[in-house]
Amino acid sequence: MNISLEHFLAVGAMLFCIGLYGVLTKRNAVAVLMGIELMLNAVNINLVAFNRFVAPQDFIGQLFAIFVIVVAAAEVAVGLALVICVYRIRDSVHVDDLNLLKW
Amino acid sequence: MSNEALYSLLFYLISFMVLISAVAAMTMRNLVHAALMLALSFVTVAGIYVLLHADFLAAVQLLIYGGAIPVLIVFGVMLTRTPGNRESNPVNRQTVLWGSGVAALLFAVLMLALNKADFVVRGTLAKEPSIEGIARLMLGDFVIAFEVAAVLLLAAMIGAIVLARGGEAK
Repeated sequence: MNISLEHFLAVGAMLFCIGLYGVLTKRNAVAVLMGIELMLNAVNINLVAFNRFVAPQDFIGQLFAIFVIVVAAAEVAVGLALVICVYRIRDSVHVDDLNLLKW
Repeated sequence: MSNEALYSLLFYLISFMVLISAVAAMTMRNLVHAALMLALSFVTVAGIYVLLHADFLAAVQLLIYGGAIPVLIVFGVMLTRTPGNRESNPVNRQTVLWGSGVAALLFAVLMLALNKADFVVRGTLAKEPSIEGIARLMLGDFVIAFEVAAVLLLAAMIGAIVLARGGEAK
């Protein structure tokens, strides 16, 4: 069977949902960040697949994927710095314990 | 074996590895093991980029997602150790049902949309190598976004250093 655009999009959708499951269910803030990274990777797969099959003459999809990677790198650096900062103050990285701004 | 069949086999093999290691990263009890499985998932995503003829992006993926981000995440795990590394990746029991339900629902909706959607697929490949095309776009039409990305990275670096360094030393 020929591999088409839909196959790659299905892989991207599955990866996104796995990442979403991790983000929604994890208690450790670092694990939540890992789930977000998986979701960003799924988006990148979609962008590159559309680039390859829908607009193969140009490279705009790949360029967008590079910008997504740049933003993801910045996000994970700042996110982990925030987690370390919270750990230093609260002595915990469990997202359930971080309820100071709740209600 | 024909070229088509080999391509299909590679696609299914790489996709299987991406998804299995992603599931392992999200379900393993030990957070360091989970981070390593996450790195494996990122590296195999580079294989998907190769299948999509995005060679430069595959190299970028290997450098940043295969090297830099797993190291950062493992550092984050090490610096925020909870007593007993074995149970460092617990799941919130009340939200497991809701989380898996929401994820499954989103997947069902996405698959339904994918089934209904009609994409205009063009078969022809680009004439120039991908790195030349990306460079032409990045330093041409998208040069402002390129410069803004540089500023964003600088701001993120300074912000991360300031945050992780903490307040005044006492």
